[in-house]
Amino acid sequence: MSDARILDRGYRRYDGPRLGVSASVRSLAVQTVQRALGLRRSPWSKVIPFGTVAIAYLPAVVFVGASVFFGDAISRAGGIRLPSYGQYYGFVSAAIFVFAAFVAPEVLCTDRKTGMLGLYLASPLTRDTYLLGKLLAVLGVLALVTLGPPLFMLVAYTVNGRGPDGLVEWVTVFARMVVAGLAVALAAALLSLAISSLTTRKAVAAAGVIFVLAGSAGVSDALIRSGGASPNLFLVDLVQLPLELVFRIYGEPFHVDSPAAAQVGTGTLAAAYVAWCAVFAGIVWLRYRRLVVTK
Amino acid sequence: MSAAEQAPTSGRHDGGAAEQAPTSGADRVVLELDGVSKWFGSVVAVSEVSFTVGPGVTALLGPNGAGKSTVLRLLCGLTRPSQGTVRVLGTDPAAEPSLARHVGLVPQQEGLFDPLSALAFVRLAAVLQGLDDPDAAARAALDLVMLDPDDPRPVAGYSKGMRQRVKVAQALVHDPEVVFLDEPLTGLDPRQRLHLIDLFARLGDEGRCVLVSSHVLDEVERFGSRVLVIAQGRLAAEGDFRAIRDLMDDRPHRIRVRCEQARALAATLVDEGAVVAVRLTGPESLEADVSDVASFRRIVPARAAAAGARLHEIEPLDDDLESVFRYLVGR
Amino acid sequence: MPSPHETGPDTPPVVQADGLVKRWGSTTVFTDTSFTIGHGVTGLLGANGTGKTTIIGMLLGLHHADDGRLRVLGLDPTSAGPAVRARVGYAPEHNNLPPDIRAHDLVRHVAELHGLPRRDATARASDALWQVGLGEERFRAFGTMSTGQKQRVKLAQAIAHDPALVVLDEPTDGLDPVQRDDMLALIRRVGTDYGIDVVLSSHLLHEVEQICDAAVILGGGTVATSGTLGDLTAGSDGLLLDVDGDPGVVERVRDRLLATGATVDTDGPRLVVRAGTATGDLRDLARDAVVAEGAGIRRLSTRTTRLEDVFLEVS
Repeated sequence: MSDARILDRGYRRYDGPRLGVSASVRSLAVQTVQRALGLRRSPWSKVIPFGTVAIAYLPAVVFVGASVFFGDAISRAGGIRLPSYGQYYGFVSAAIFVFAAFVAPEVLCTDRKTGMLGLYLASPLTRDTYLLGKLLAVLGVLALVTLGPPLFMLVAYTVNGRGPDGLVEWVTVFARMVVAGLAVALAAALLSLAISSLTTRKAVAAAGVIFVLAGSAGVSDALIRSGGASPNLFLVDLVQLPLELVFRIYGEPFHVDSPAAAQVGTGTLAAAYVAWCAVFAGIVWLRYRRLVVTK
Repeated sequence: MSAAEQAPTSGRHDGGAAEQAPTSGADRVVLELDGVSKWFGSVVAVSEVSFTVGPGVTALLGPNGAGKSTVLRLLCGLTRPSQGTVRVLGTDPAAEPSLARHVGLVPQQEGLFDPLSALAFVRLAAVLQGLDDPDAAARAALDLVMLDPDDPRPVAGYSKGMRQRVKVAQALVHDPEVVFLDEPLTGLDPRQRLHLIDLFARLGDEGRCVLVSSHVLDEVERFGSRVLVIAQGRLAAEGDFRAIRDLMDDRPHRIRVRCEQARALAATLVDEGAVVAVRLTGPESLEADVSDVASFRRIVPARAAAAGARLHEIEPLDDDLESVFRYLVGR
Repeated sequence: MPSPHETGPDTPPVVQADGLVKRWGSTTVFTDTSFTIGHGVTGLLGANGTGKTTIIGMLLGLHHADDGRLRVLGLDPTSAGPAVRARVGYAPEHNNLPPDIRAHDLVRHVAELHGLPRRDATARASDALWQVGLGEERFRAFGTMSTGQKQRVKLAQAIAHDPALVVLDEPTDGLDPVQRDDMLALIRRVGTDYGIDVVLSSHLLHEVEQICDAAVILGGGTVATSGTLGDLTAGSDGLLLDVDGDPGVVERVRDRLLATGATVDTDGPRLVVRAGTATGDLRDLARDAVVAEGAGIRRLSTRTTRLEDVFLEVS
C-alpha cells in the first residue's frame, strides 16, 4: 500500500482554546513594551530606550564595582560612603525623566495617530482594559530604570557578602525596594499617560511631560525659597515628591534637596502622592471615555 | 473608421495624426506625448510612450504602479521627461508656466483649506490665477458644479462628494481648456458618482479636453468610451475601448444568442464564415466563438429579420471594458 | 475537511436589529430601524452620511443604541461587547496602521488579542497571510507595502482568529481593476469556502452585485430596503440595445425607434428602449430598425433591474 497522500491546505477552522480578556491585555502589554523598547523595529527606534537603560544602570555598575574592589578602603576612610538605595534615585532621575517623556507618548499617541486604536477597540478589549494594558506596559518599561538598578545593586552586594544582614533584613529591604520602585514608576507613568492622552503628537506630548515636571519643580522651589510660604508647597513638586517618598519608604534619614521636604509629614506626603496619581489617572480615563474612535 | 489603435508592444509608433494637427475642430490635438520616457535612477516609470488626445472625455487607465501618475505629472509639467517631448496645447508644460492659465488640475489628495467656505476657497484659486473678477469667476465655477456659492459653511463641513466638487470648481475657475482629474470618484457614494460623471460629460461636450484617471472601469464605460491604457510603463492601447476589443483578432469574441430558429441561424453563421465555432446550447440558444465580429453583428439581426425569427438576446461574454483591460495588462 | 459553520434554520441570524434608535447629540442617525443579516456575504450600502460607519460601530459594541434591540451572533453587543468582538473580525477602511510593524507581527498580535495562544496565533497568522497571497511578503513592514498588499494584510488580520463574522469597510478602496477582482474573489472565498459570514460596506454597487448574497441599503435615517440580491433586482425595465456603427447610424436607428412610439434613453454608449406608445414586440422593433439601417447589434438584452436602480430609488 502506498503512503502517498495529498493534504488539503485550504482554510482550517480553529478549534483550540480561546483565552479570555486577561490574555488580550497581556498581549497588548507585551506588544507595547516591545514597541516602546524598539524591539522588532528599526535600529533607530532602539537608540533612546537602550541608551536610557544604559544610563540608568551605569551608576549601579560603578558603585558595585567600587564596593567590590575598594570596599575595605572605603569603609576605612570613614568619610566616604557609597550612596544608599534611596539616594540612588538621585542618580537616575534623568533616566526616569527621559522614559517618562518618551515611552507613554510613543505607546499612546501612536495608536491614536494611526488607526491602531480602532483595531484594538474592535478586539475583545474595551477602553478600560486597553488603558490597563497600556499602563502595565509603561509601568514595566519605567520599572526597568526605577526598580532594575537598585535590584541589581542588592543582588550584587548580596553575592559579595555586603548585602543586608539576615534573611528578615534582606526581605525587608527587597520589599521596600519593590514598593519604592513601583511608586516612582507609577507616578511617572500616570503623569505621562495623562499628557499623552491630550495630543496625538508624540513630540508635543514629550515636551509637555518635561514642561510639567520641570515647571512644577521650579514653581514649588521658587515659592518655598521666597520665604514665608507653607512647606506644603513642596507637594506641588512632581519631581521631588516621589523621590522624597522613596526615602520614607526605605526609612532612610535623608531628604531631597529642598528646605521644605523634611517638614512635610509622611502621611501628608503619601496622601498628596495618591491624590496626584488619581488626578492623572482621571484625566486619562475621561479622555478615553469621550474619545470618538469611529462615528 | 475605427478610432482605436493598439500600440505595438515593442518599438515606438509614429504619431501620424500629430504631424497634421489642426488647431481647431473636434479632432485637434490638445495633449501629445511623443516618444516619452521617464526614469528615476535605474527605475523606468514610463517608456517610449506616444499618444495624442483631443477634446472630449478620455479615461486614463492602468494597474497601480504602471506609470499612470507619472503620465499625469508629465502633462501637468510637474516633472520633465528623460527623453521625448510633452506638449499641452502645443507648448511644453514644464517650460511654460503660463500654460497653467489653460489647465485645471483636480489632484487626488484632500485640500488644505478646509476652514474656508467654498466661495472663499474657489475665489482664492481665482486670485492666484490673476483673474480680473475673481468673485464672479468663483461663483460661475461653483454654479457649474451645482454648488451654492452663498453657502457660508466651511468646506470641512461638506460631505466628501461636495468637497470633491469644490475641488473641481477650483480647477475650473479660470475656464481652462484642459482638465486633469486624478481618481476623482474615490470615496464617493453612487449618487455623487453619477453627478460627477454627468459633469465630466458636460465639460467634454463643451469642447474641453478632460483626462480622467480611474480604477472603476464600470464607470469609465459611462463617461466615455475613449481610453488610454498604460501597462508596465508603456502605452498598451488607445481609442474607443470597444474598437480596441475588435482589434484583438487573436482572441475570438464569445457571444451568446438566444433566438427563434437558432439551428438555422447557426448554419448561416458557419456558411458565412463569421464564426470559428458555434454550439447549440438549447432549442433557442447558441454560443459562438466569433472571428469576424462586424459581420456577425450584421448577419444575426438580418438573418433573423429575413426569417421572421424573434431575437431574444445577443450577449457578448467578453467585451466589456473589464475584459479588455484584463487582456491588455496581461495579468 | 473543514466543517462550515452551522447554517441551518435553527441557528440565529448573524445580525438581528429591531427598532434601533441612535442619536449623536441632537442629531438622530437612526429611527426605528429593523433589519436582519443572514449567512453568507451581505453588502452594507448607503450614501455618505447615512450611518454605515455607525452601524458597524454598533455591531462591534462600540456605540450603543439609544433604543431598540440588537443581536450579533445571538449576543447583545451592548452588554457582551468583548464576547461579540472575540468572534468578529474587522478590517477598517483606512490604511493608517503603524508603518514599521511587520505584517506577520500585526496579524499575530490581532489574533492574540482575540484570545488565541501565542503558538496558535503565530501559526494562523502565517496561514492567513499565505491565504491572502502575501506569504512571501509576510515579514515586510506595513509601511513599505502597496495599497493592494495593505488591503490584503487588513483582510488577513480580520480572518486569522477564525471569526464567525468579518466586517470589511471598503475593502477594495484604491485597488486597480485586476487587484479589485482578486480581492473580491478572496472575499467571496471567505464567505463560502471558509464559512465565515461577511458584512461588506462599499460604494461600488457592481462589486456588491458581483459577490454579495444580500444587501442592506441605508437611507433616510433607517434601512431603506434590504433583502437577497435576487429579490432586490428581480424586476426588468425595457430593452438594452448597443448598436454597432458610427454615431450617425446610431442616431438614425434611434430615430426609427422613436418613430414607432417607443421611448429611447442613453446609458453610456447604449440605447435603453422602453415601450412608450409603440405596438409590437420591442425586440422585433429594435431588430428591424437596425437591419433597416444596415447596422449591426453588439448587444441586445432585457434591461434587468440593477442594484444601482434600487439604490437611487430608495436612498
